[in-house]
Order: sequence, then C-alpha cells, then structure tokens
Amino acid sequence: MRTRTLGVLSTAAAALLLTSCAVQTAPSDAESPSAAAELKSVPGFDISDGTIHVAQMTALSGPLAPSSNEQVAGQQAYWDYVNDQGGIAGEYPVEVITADNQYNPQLAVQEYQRVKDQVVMLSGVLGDASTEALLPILEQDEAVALPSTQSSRFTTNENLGMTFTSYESNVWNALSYLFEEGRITEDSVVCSMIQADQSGQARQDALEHAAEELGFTLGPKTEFAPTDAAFTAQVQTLKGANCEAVVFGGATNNVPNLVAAATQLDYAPIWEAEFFAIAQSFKDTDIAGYLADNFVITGIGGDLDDDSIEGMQLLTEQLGATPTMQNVYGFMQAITAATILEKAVELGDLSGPGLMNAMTELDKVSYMGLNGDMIYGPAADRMQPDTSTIFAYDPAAPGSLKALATQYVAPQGRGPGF
Amino acid sequence: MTVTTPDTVLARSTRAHAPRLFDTWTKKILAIVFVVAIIAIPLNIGDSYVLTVLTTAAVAAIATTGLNLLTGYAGQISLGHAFFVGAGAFTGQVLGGQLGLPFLLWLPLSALFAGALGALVAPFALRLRGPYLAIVSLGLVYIGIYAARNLTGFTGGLNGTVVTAPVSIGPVDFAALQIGPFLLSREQGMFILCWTILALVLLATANIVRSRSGRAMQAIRDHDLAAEVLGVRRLPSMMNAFIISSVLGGLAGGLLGVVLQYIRPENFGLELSIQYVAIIVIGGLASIWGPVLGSLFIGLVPVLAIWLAEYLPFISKPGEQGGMSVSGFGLSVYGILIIVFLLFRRGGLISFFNIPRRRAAATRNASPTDTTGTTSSSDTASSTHATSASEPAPEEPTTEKEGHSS
Repeated sequence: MRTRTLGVLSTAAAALLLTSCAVQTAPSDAESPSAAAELKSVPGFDISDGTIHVAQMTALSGPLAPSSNEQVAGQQAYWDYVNDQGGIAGEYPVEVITADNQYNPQLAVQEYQRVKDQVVMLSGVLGDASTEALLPILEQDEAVALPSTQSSRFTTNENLGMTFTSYESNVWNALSYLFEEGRITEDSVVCSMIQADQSGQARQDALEHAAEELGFTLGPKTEFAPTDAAFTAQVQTLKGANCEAVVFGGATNNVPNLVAAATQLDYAPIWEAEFFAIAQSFKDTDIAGYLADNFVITGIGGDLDDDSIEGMQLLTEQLGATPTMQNVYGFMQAITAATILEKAVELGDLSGPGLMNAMTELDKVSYMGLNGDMIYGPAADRMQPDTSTIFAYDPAAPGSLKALATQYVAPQGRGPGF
Repeated sequence: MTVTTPDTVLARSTRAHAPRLFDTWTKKILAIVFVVAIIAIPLNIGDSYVLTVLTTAAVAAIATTGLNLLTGYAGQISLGHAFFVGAGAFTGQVLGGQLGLPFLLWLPLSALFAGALGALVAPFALRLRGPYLAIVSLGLVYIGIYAARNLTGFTGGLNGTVVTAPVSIGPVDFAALQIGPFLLSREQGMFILCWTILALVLLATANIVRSRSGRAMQAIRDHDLAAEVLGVRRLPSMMNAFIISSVLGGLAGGLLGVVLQYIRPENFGLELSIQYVAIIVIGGLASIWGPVLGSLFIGLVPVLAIWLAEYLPFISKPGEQGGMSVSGFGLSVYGILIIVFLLFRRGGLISFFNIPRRRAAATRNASPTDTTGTTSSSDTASSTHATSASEPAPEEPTTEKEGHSS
C-alpha cells in the first residue's frame, strides 16, 4: 500500500514538473545579453500598441485617501498634457494604473507584486515605510520607483528617483528665513517636536546645522510616535525650556491634538511645519486662528492661484480649477517620471535597468518654475532641490496657504548633505 | 487486579478515540493532492501577486494554527498573538540577518524565543480566563510595540528594518530556487517553503490534538471542573497550549519577515491580532484545516474585490473624490461575510466540508442493520467535540461552551 501511494505521488509530481509552464529555463552560458539599441517590448510597454504603463501607488482608501486622490489627479493632469502632445517623445502615450497601499508597507509589497508586470515603473509610492518595504524587491527586480517623499535617505539609491526638496532643506530654509526676517535671533532658543523616526532625525539634523550657522541656542528635542494623541508632556517640556520656535515634524492628524495641548498650556511659539501638516478643512475649525498666528509652513510652488508660475498655470488649465498643494505634488512627480521616460526612450530601453540607466544619463529634471531642479546623474551624485516656498496659514487663501517667500534658498547656501 | 486511575482512564480513552491521521482513502488522497499542489501551484502560476497572496496566507495559517490550538482546542481567548508573531519576526532578522545564522538555526530559534516569551507570560496570564485573558493578552501587543519601537538596535524602531535573513538550506536557496533546468522566482520559492512548513505544522498539530496533552486541553475547554476531577491539571495543560501557540506564532513571524523583506513594529499591532481571531472564526474553530481555509479566505477577498471592482458602478475611480474605493469595497465584503458566517454558519468554512461526512454518519446510524447503536471512531470524530480525535465538527464556536469558565 505504501509503495503504491508513493508511486502515485511520484507520478503526479513528475507529471506536474514536466508540464510546468510558469518557470524560466536557466540561462545557458552561450546566451549573451543583446545591446538595446532600439525600443523593444518590455513588461508595461508593448511596442505594437505603443502605450507606456506606469503605476502610482498611494493610499486610495483610509484617512489619507482624499489627499492621495488629489495627488493622483495631479499626476493625471500632467499625463493628459503629455498625451495631448502625442505622448513620450511625441509617440508613446502614457497610461496610469493605480495601486492602493493604504499607507501600509505590507500591502505595498502585495500591490507591487500585482502591478509590477503591467508597468515599466512606479511613478509614485506614498509613504517612507512603503518605500523601505519595496526597496529590497526593487533591487532584486532591477525596477524603478519614484517615492512621494522628501526623505534624503533615498536620494542616492539607484532604483529610486526623487522629486522634492528634502526635509532637511525645508527646515534649514525656513529657519534661515525666520532669522533673516528677525523673527528668531541669536538669543532665541529653538527646539524640536518630531516623530521618533528617520524623518524626525532629518529635521533635527537640519535644526542642529541651523543652530551652528545662525548662532541661536539649541533647545530640547521632544519626540512622539505617529499614533500618539496626547502631546501635553512634550509641549510642557518645550514651554519650560522657553523655546521661541519649534521645528514640528508631524502629520495632519497630529495637529489638532498639538494645538489643543499648546492652547491649554497657553504656549504660542513659532511652529515650523511641512505643508502636509495642514489640512484644507482646518479653515472652518477653532484651531484656524492659532495656526494663522503661530505656524510657518514649508512647501513647493507658490500661491496656488499664481498664474505667473508656468507649472501652476498649466496645472490649473488641465484641472479646470485652482489646484490644491497635493495636485502640485502629483503634477511634479509626473514631470519627473516623464523626463526619465523621455530619456529611456531616447536610449532605446524602457526596461528596469534601462530606466536606471536613463536616470544616470539624465542631468536634471526641471519643474516649470514649481520648484528648483532635481539633479540626476550617477546615483551617488544626485541631489534634491534646495528651494522651499515659505507659507503662512491663511484660511482665506487657496489651500489656506499664503506664500511669504517663493522658491526661497537660505543665503548661507545648501546645508551639508541636504 | 487492575487499578483504575484518572491516568489510566485518559490513556485508555486516548487509544479508544485516536484514529490514525489518514485513516481513510479520501484523507490519504487529499493529503497527496495537498503535497503535490505545494509544488505544482508555483510551477504553474507565474503571477507573483497571486503567489504572494497565497504565501502570505500560508504564513497566516501557521500563526492561526497556533492561535486555534489555544482558542479552539484549549478554549482560551487571546488577542495577543501578534506579539509572538512580531517577536519571531524581529528575532529572525537579528539571528539570521544581523548574526548571519543559517535558516535551519534562525527559524527554529525564533520560534523557540517566542515560545520562551509565551512560557514567561503564561503562568500569569492563565490565572485569568475568558474575556479577562483576552484583555491581558491585548496588553502584550502594546508592550510589544512599545518595546520594538525602543529597541532600535534590533528592530530599527519606528523606521522598521529590512529583513536579510537567509532562506537557504545547504545549497537550496528558496530565494532563487532551481529545480533541474527550471529557475524559480523568489515568490515561487517562498511559496514552496511556506506551504511545506505549513504542511509540517498541520501534521504536528493534528498529532498534538490527538495526544494525551491535546485531549487534556479539550477536556478542560469543555468542562474544566469535570476534567480536574478526572485528574487533568488545568494550569500545565493550558500552559502547553499557550507555549505551543507562541512557538507557532514565532515561526510564522520569522517566515513573515522573509516573505515581506521589511518589518516594523506597527505590522504587529492589534489589527493583526484581530485578523487572526477572525481567520479562525471564519475558518472554523477547533479544526485542523479551519485556519488554512480562513487564511485563504481573508487573503483572497481583496483579490476578489479588485476583480469585481471593474463591474461595479459605485466603485470610485482613482483621482476622484466620492464613491467607494476598491480596498473599502474589499473591507466591506470582508465585514459582511464575517457577520454572515457568525449568524448562519457558526462552524466556519470547514463546516461545509463536514456536511457530507455528518450526513453519511447519520445515514449509517439510521440504518436498520445497525442495531448496536455504536459508531466507528471516525464517526465519533465528526459528531462530537470533546472527544474528537483529528477534526471535530465545529457546529458551534466552542468557546461559547465554556462560558462557565469566564
């Protein structure tokens, strides 16, 4: 009986192995890679229909869905513009496939597996953690993704293409601006309230650099986790240290709790924050007044209704309405993706290694006046833009953001490694 | 003269009610099909998304097999299982990724470390029962996340860590598996690895629940006072269940790390624990195959949602506000099905497979030729809870029966 069972098992296994249709044959030594001189079909691009597919991975469900959808719309606005011109190199239209990571790195991996054979690149990946989760797989697959992040730790990775100004540059530019405007001085104490992760540390590095360069006193660093909801202890520490300005590294969901704690403790320093800490919906709430009085916000572009900026004008035309800041972010990321694709088409290779080579061969990506140039070239030499637009919170302005200084660069120059 | 003691009674009952694992041709054939499928599916499905979903389901099935032992067979509700899975995941990376230990060392050691944590916690946690234990175990999740966030050298803190632990046994590297002339992708290799380990875990669990220790757990679950009167010691039996459950959680965690290749403390929160409980409820409590079915179900619902989304008008297009997202639709389907199962099919998915067996048993019992009223051991297994040997038929969630113990 046992022999018969083993026989059945062996026969079935052998049959299935012989009929295996989803495996590759090991390459023989005789095969040699052919030089990609002309454009060939690759996953995500079929030469016969000429459409290039890219995937935008973002949080299409959950609390971040509204802003993520705005980013998707921003990307689509630029692709529509490109396709109206005939597509990449005037020949190859671009189609976007979306993937929903729900801001969860585990789902990011699954979604990447779902779309990777349908696209030539990920034209956006929302979330540092999702990018971290995808990196080992991108490296194995020799694939390219464009993180929707400002983290400088990804800048010199050859699989990743960056777009935005780093956290460090934004903090450094904002503190320099406040110093130039006399809102902080050498006698000031400047502190931080940051997430206990690498994005928080990046801000802290910039703060320490600014303290050294500008001569103000460095105050205490307070930290929190993304899901923390009570900030009384941190705010009490900052108040106790007489911090006149605080670098805040948190997201939209942290802001109401932060303002509640600060208001309760009657504490009103200058809070320096990134634009994504500010939600359009705050303008109708009780915290809007506190934000207007005490927040300085860094971002890109300029006033959202500023038609003198070429990119803003084009985006407004494409959308048929005044854009949001998230639209601008999506739009800029599509510019990066399109520029890389243009170069890859020029070099005749839209495969992952081809796109990596295109980023190496590319000098820079320019953003129609929406931000400074992103420097490409060999991975080790890449640099994020060093410009930041400094905003005040103004509930009456589009996106509740009023530009104080457009495309500002600290007169002391770019910080080290920023 | 033979002296009858509780031990001899249990020993006799073990012999009486423990049929062979594969006692029918149906079971033998299904086992063969399962083993062949472990090789055949990845060789014939090249879609890395489907393979990743199925591999993740296998890992969840390993974790929930452990939880099912504790909740389904021993009747103890735990919401802290994600803690042990997380402990296994980070330990796996420390041992395999940072210290460079081989797969055959780091994976068992990760499981054992989680088991040791379970042994540490069990004596205290198991003094409580029912909902009290659930709340205490919930505390473990928060302690685990706090510890993981602050042990940055081991876990990467809030940033998490890339998992570089090797997945090779000697010359066989599951990340780049080669079978004869065929090169398998990492996803295909990981599928084979995880489903093979799941098969071994299921085999071990089936043996555990047939053993004296396993039957003691079930006796305590069904009536702890009666079991203790018979000489079954509650605390050691429950500790066995808790520790084995933790070991399997750690094993699953180690595998989850190498499947995802990136882990962070937030992966192992309350949501994961609740998902595991949902899996065993949907799959079928106190059933060997229940966690497998439940894990496949939970894993495949999003796939189904994506497929259906194209045909449903109320699904919003990305980039547009309003409407329901594909993931939101998947979550809604998932939630509705949980409610449906709890209301109408409390035995879980496994109960669908038990219907023919119960009908057959009922037919035999009603047969006029059967005048003795006796049943075979396999019939007994499908018609009772407490004395079932390999797979009791979970008509009702068994934890409900031990309301007296809470």
